[in-house]
Amino acid sequence: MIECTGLGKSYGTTRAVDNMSFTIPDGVVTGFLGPNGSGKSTSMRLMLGLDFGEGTTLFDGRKLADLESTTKVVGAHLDAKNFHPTRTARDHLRMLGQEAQVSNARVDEVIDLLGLASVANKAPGGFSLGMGQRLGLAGAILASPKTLLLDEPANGLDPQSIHWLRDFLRDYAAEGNSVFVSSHLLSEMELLADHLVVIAKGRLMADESMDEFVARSKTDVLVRTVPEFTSVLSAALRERGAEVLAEDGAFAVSGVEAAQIGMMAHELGAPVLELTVRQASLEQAFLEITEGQQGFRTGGSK
Amino acid sequence: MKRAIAYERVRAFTIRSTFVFPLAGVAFTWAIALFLILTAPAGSDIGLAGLVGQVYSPISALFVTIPFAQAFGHDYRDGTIRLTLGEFPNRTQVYLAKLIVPAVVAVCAVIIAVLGVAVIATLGPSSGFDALPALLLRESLFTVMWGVMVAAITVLTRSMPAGVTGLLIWWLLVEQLIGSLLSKFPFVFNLLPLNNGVLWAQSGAVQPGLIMLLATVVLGAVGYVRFTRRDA
Repeated sequence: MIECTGLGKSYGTTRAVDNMSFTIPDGVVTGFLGPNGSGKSTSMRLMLGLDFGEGTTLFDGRKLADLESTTKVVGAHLDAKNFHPTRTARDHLRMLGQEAQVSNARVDEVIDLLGLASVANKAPGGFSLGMGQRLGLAGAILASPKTLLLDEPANGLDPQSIHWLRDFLRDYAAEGNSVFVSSHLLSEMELLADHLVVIAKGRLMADESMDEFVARSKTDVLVRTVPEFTSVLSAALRERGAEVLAEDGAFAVSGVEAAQIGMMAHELGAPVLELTVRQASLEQAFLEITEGQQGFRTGGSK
Repeated sequence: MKRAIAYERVRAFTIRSTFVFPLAGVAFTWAIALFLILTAPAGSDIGLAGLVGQVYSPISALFVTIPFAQAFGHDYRDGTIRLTLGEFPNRTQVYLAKLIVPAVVAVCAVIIAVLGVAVIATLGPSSGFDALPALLLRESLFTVMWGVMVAAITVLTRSMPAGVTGLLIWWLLVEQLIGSLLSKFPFVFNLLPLNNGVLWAQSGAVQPGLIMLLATVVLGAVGYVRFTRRDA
């Protein structure tokens, strides 16, 4: 388990990370979400002691600096291009294995596991982003650490590799390890993470299970009937206490089950052209919670 | 500490340039020595100490100490500093390991260079071979001190080219300019660390050596403070 308490960091007058405290439990994959510039990478660097700031991070109750072997406790992968361009992939891993005195056999095992065998003796300067990600991941898991900290590990991976990564990380966590993964791929995170830490503008917005987080966003039902019955049906639904919002020739209903809506339409003789239950999604919940909290805004659509 | 040194050893020894540049420094030294011996007037004998003093110059040291700059410069350039410091949170250990490993490479290169010069010296009229052990020690220490300063400049600037060339430019331009402009004030010469270092390496006089040592300690300490207190 990782416990972060009071993490903070300023760059000049900009508060990049502001008094964040959260816990990363064992046995599950924890997703780390936030808009661009929200402080995710800075937080990870603070957790690893790479940047100086405020707060403490405890790995199973101990600070990183107090550990006998850091790489047996924490494996981190922060950037897909962190390697010397002419040092072979195998030598890169041999170097990273020195802290935990990892054997050459283990290096070869990880090379095989990450599908790097054909390029193990090649200089990684010409590696694609995906191959760089694999090499970074290989370095992170080399000493079989109790905790994995991964910053955008799925960037540049092909669909098969993403599928493999998802299975691998879930299995890794299921063995009782902590896995902390940041990603912008919300659909992927929805499949991968069980727990979420969500930040925006350097502040903690949520530290809860995926189910709890998604439940913050409403589930509603999209109802479409013929124009003559639109006002009749929506008025009847409001009488039942439902919240009804007009939406592009139809209306979105919340607070009433889809089956009840169907029955009411039947009773009123209103033909139903569409009745769609719209489940709350991670994306919807994330967009709602981070609305107006982006560090960098994109231009509005016309 | 042993693991940090092992990490740094693998880091340094798995890139060819760690050996190529020091060997280039050795070859440069030998080439100059060979040229001087073959073109020396008949009967002239400057002695081994004089020959080594002439041919093992700061230009040789520049090549031999490039691994010091690479130890920090490659890590900053490639972003591997985050991997290194992630594995070894104790930055003092990392800083020392990054000085010890290139120092071993540099001392080996100096020994090869100076022994080679001694062999080349036998091709012409030569004497003073009894000074060889002292020469080996002085040139090795001079090179390591030069390397520590190169490492410190690389840490301060995060730039390998600045680290490699900074000292040479300081020695060739700044110290020569200061020396010539302030020639009426001879005490100024006592404050120029590299001129004094070269003098010490050539003559063995203690005071100039101490001035270079002082400069090395100060610059090395500034580099250490910066390295241990900066975001990776």
